[in-house]
Amino acid sequence: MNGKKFPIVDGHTGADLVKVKTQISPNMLSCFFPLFQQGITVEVETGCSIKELLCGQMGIDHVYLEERITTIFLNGKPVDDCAAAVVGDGAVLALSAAMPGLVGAMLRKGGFYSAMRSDITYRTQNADSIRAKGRIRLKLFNSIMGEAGPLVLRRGIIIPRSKVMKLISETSAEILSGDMPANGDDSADADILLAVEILTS
Amino acid sequence: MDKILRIDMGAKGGPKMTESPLGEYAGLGGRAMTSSIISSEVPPLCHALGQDNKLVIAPGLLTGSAAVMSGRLSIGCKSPLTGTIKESNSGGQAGIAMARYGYAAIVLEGNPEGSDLYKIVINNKGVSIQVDNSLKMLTNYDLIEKMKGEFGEKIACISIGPAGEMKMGAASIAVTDMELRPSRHAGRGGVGAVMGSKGVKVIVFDTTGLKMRQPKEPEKFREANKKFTEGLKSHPVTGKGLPAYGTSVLTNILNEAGGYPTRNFKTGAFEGASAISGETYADLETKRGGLATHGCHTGCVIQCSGTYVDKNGKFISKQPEYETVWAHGGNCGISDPDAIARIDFLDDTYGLDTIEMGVAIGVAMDAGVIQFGDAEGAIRLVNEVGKGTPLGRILGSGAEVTGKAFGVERIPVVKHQSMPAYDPRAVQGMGVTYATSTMGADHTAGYAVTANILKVGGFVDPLKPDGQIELSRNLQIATAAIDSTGMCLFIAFAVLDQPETFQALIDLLNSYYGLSLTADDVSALGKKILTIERNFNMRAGFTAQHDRLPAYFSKMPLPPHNVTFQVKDEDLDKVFNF
Repeated sequence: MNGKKFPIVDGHTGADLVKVKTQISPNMLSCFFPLFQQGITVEVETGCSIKELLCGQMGIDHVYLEERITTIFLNGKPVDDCAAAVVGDGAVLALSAAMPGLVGAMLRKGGFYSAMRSDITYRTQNADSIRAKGRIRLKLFNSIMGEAGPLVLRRGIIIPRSKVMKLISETSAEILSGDMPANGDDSADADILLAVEILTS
Repeated sequence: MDKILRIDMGAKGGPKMTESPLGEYAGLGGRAMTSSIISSEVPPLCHALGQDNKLVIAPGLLTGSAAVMSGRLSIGCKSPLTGTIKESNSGGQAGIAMARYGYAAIVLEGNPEGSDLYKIVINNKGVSIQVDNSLKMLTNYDLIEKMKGEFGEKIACISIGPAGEMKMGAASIAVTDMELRPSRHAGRGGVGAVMGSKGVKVIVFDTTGLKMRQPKEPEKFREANKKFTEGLKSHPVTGKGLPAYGTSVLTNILNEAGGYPTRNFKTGAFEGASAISGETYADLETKRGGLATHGCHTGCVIQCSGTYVDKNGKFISKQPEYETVWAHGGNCGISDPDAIARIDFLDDTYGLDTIEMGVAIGVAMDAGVIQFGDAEGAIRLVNEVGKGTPLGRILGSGAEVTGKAFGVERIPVVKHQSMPAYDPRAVQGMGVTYATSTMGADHTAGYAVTANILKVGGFVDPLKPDGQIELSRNLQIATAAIDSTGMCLFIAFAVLDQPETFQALIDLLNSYYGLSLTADDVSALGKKILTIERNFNMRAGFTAQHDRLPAYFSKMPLPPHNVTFQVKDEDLDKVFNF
């Protein structure tokens, strides 16, 4: 993929942030896995459903969402209907593939055994349905990291400068555009909008 | 498998063995075999470490055949930890060898007088029982090295470590894997202590020239095995998730759900979870030159295990399982994957149940014996158990004894056995199974998620108020049946979602034995096993009052969801209304 054809997608303005674009080789993607598991901040239009956010805004394929992302948590609560669950500003959204064990089956979205965790199941809250620009924390687990991670990185993630520097060092990333704030600057650990392209091998 | 080997370790003049046909136990395997023998032959009120208890080792119905995933071995007795009937099962190679020698069960009976320690050797010349006091207090890894030196590399072993010899409530029985490491364990319920009470350190099977067991209908069997394998490989859990990340792939998920018991079940989320997740372990294994995808026995196609090495590529342990990583990790506030792997190795080599040990150490941390998060302190405590110091003896007796010794209220046990890695306040359905299982708190008791296929007792509406009771009941029935086949419980995921894979499993059994079982027959077997086990427990003094979680789970809310266990006692009492 040519770096010049590599936009940060519309809708992710990060207007007040320094923007940096990088390229990494595919085998360096795993350097982002710890971040994915802990959660990365992304800017989105909130107040919409999980399905609209993932498919409409993030560009995730509908079939992939239906068949591969079978376990979803919104603010720590298992979701059964991602077309109905609304993502509010500041939400934590976690995505996983099918998981083993009885508990894996219980936590699966709309699964037969979902009743066995009904006390923690996500229930829609009206206050979340106000549509506005906002930030959410997105967590990617297991095979979703490698499969959907590149799409999320390409769109751009908001992380502190110190973590960007560490990632660039670990991945030998090539900076395509944007200027990193200098070390020692007042804004040395300010948030940066980092967009990462995974080079095709 | 057409015979039972019985060894009376307490016979006058030394151990005596007899071989007999299956008789009333014909057609049984795995858990069905162990629970049937224990229920029929062991006085329920006997002392679990006394001469009247028996240790029954039984491969599953398909173990030793070409059926994939069929290498499991069941070990049963009256449990010294719980006082109930116990079946604990394990992977590894010994079940396959035992089945190929034709043994449907090996039964260790009686207790020897004196302090001699025995090894039992089974080869093509027969069975020999030898005193070998040079094995005393050897760790499992040292023991197996010694057995390799004596018998060569073509062996499979069932053994106990020092914990078993010291008859600790947390003592496990080790089974060697494909690399001849004693890394697979029948962990739960103190089965290792019963083997220790019989004076048996190790059973060695010479695997030279052993032939695969042959089905009655080879063509049908081959076809069923092919479909079964395809079903497992095409399923996202058994074909992708488990091979790539192992069972610890559950860490992030349970943590996100707020159901990951942390610091002795105080909260449901651990800030260090991602550092010890399956994803992290797999990444470390790959980068360091270990192995992230590996089977625990021949014929495994899921390959959920692995080999964990240090920064220099040196072996630390097999890839620790989810429950182990949780018990010694989040439950103790420890987020160092290397430290947890080192503890896993210590548990394996001393012969300890990782769940019981992790929970006991968590309780000890709650009491202030050491601080939560103190990884080196936890390693020191496990070493104390292995050496049998006074503190080690307390910890090795399990979480309940530890809690009583140190005056802790929050002791997460049911029927004296530690809860595994799923907080029942967040995942209430799991709490139903913990409370009512015949085995004490056990996450595998209701694992085989086949209720909607088996339709045991009719189709369950999970939205009904008593839906969780029915689900737990049906899951326990299905699990008991699968535990009898020798199949790894992880097949359940594919069986849940793919009816054709479940049918292939039944076809495997039918073509192997020339039977015409249906799903109803399989569920009837599960019910029969549970009934036998419940009956034993009732005669041992267990009542409905023992089918309860500790009271604090109904009183102390679990952050972050601040939920308590809500299932009513009268509903728990309905679980076994078949």
